[in-house]
Amino acid sequence: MKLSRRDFIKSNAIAAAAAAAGVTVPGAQALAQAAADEGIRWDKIPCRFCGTGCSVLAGVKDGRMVASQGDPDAPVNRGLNCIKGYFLSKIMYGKDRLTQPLLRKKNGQFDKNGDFEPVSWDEAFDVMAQKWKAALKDKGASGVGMFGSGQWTVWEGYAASKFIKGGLRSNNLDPNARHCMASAVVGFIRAFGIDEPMGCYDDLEHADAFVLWGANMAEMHPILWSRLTDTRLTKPGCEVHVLSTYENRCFELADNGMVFVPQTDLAILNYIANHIIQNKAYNKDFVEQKVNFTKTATDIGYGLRPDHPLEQKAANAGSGKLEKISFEEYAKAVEPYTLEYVAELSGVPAKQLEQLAKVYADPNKKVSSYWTMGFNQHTRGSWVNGLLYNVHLLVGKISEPGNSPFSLTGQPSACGTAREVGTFAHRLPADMLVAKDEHRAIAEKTWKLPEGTINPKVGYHAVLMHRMLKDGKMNCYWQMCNNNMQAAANMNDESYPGWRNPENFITVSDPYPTVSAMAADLILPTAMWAEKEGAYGNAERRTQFWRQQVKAPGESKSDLWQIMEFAKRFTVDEVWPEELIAKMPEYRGKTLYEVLYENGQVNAFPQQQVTDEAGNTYDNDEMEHFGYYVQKGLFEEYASFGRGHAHDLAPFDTYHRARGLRWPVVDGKETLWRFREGYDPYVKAGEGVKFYGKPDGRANIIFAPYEPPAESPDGEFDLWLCTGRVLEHWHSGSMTRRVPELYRAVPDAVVFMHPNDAKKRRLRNGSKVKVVSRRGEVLTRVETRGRNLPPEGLVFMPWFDAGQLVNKLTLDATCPLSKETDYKKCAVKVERA
Amino acid sequence: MNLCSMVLNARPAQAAAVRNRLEAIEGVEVHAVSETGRLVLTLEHPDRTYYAETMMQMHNVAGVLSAALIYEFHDEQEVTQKEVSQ
Repeated sequence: MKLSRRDFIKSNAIAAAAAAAGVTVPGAQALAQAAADEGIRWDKIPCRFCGTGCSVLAGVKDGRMVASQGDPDAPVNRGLNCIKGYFLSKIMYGKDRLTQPLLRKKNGQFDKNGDFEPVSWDEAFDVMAQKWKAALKDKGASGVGMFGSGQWTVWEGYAASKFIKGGLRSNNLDPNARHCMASAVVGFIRAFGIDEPMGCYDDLEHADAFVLWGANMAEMHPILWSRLTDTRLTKPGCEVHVLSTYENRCFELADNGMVFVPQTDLAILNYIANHIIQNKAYNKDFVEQKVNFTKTATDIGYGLRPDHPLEQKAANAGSGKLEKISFEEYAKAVEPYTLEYVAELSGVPAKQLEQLAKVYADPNKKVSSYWTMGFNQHTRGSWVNGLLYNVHLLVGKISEPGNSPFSLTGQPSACGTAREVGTFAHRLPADMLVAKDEHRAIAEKTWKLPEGTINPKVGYHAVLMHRMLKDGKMNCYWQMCNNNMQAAANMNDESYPGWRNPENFITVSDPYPTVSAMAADLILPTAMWAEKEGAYGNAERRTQFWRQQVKAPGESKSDLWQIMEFAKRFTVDEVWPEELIAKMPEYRGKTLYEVLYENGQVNAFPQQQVTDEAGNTYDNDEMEHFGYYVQKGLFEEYASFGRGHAHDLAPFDTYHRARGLRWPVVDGKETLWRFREGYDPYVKAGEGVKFYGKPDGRANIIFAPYEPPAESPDGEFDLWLCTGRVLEHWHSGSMTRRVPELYRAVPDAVVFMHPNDAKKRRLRNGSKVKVVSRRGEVLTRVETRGRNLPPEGLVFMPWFDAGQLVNKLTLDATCPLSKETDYKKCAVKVERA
Repeated sequence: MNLCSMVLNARPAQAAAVRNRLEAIEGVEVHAVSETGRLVLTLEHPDRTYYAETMMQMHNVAGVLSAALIYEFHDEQEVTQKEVSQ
């Protein structure tokens, strides 16, 4: 048979789609796509964007990534790709890609007020090291800090943690995951004593009912949404409940769509608990054997600066104290949350609330609950995470197929790097804490460092870092793999003054001239994603690896290279006190690079050729430069923290072959549902369910009341502002806005508004307006008809647009326990511009 | 040449109507509709801008609940006449 090339390509395209959809198309044959595209090398790589962790096939030709497609062998996405994921191959080829270090200079010297000039890596690191050493001398370890990322590869996060915590002895290391996952982490630790979800994506097919709590999955997790949609459309009796503060695309599939007044999710969850108890629908055996009842300290403030009137007024500012109570006391505590009261408070009709409560109460319905930023970016984020666990625990719907409270993540390695490696200001690998003597001792021993090296004092978290920069208490700040000038709240009052404080030296590592890069003093050009060997960990505990696919342009270097090279600039004698060196005098005169990375573990694996099963060969620029298999050494040392402690990872080489594995991986087998006998190797025969993160094996039900938000609309600032994302762009848009197709589809941000609110202000669709808060103003256009339909009194604005910096408006109020900012609630007014 | 395939989801009761709406779009061919409301389509158009914009707007077509891209081919060269053996 003769086919034209066009026919051949087309039948390929149809066959791939039919296979992904599970339908038959007559005449379409399954053909290996490689055959159609001569000379293209295909290899698996996890997507660069969200926490779903889709695997894509990257097609490389002549040293350039030219194509990508959904990986048909990937259990997460089964050959599907969302629109953003589809254009992945283009994110590395933006026209303004940075290719050499840039330093602000005047008359040949560094000058904070100078213009950016190209410099060598040597000059860049010379100036940077001089500034860091001066800050360390002046302020001690707290004078410097690093702001990392849930987009770092696992080994980059680990290398950074060693450098800052083990080398410089500072705990001023925090990831941007603070802005997105911190409340989820606190929720897990308080309820279960161990981080990350018990369930996995398989629940998307096992559940009978889905409840979305502040997660716009249709736009933010499109592939998971597509799996959920399939289940809803194919499983008889399946239902979808959606809660949000405005109507979004998920409402199109919803059987019960509920728009609630911001912050009243706290009350709705307590109502559901009350409904379950009043109707005796709780699982008595489960509650008696597997759960402890507690209540949390209340009136805890809003994580603002201590002199803020709201903090002064709070009785227990920042307190996360838990007090044991009885079941009866708990029942009494939720009793005021009646259907009538909560319907009134939340604005959700009573009938719909009851319909929702019944889904959780019904013993014959398997329920999976999903949430993202609606819960986490919340001044009571830690509480609201806990309140949802309360509901699942009361009915025992947890840790089994289909019954799953599941925290979705926004970044590709918020779990794998930020959380598991422990790049937070208070953490060490495998859920360990800097404040605990025995945990520091374990880390010091593994890292071959003298006892007492690691600082017991918790470092500055993300929001505090900006405050400390502004106040001149921290003078050097290194941001990697994120765009915090655009992402952090209250840019006008905190972020920008902090970065431009003349006492401070700010370094930004980025592939592109982002808002952050332009506000820095030194920009380091960075190799991204497929330009290095990497590992990410997704939301369902799946660790995935990839090989370096292409070379980075110009002098760009990976974050890993940058951290390890910068560590060469410090000797132990410069940064450790004499009494510490005296405990291991063999380290005297050595560089931090030698102590931390040439320690016989990280450099244990010799240089080798990287190949895949088909025999294709790949570069590894870090291995080439340092002379050993850096990624493997860092991974194996890191993995030793978790093996045997319920965080088991498989051997390094296994991951290069697998489409990811969900930890704990014990005896080569991944774990789909944790804490339940038969699924989790850490639960012994006869134990049934065991929440082994807690010493007594019981999870905590934690009562927390409704408390109002930090800022609500009033006479002058009369609208709620909720910020967030759109399908086409990822986070601050630094990558997606450089893909022409995505840029064209949604070039600029708009403010989504109810038509009546527009009419009241004499505005129409498309009107140019000024959005004003107590902290700043932004120019934009009104959208009254788009994909998001806010109720009257609330406006929604995405934050991807560098030309419309919505974080000039937001308030830096946080959950006082997780220190995660509430980007979903502040008060604004909208005026004609 | 610009060609891609996609999988869309619609409510089964609306699938036929969605199919009609899709087929009214220049360059779209619907190859299969499953009983559960899944549609398999290709989009092909010589104009890169029209093609990209149509692809991006697919999830905004009335009745479409989700849209995923599966396969894409883009080549600056004219390849349609070239024959390959199979």
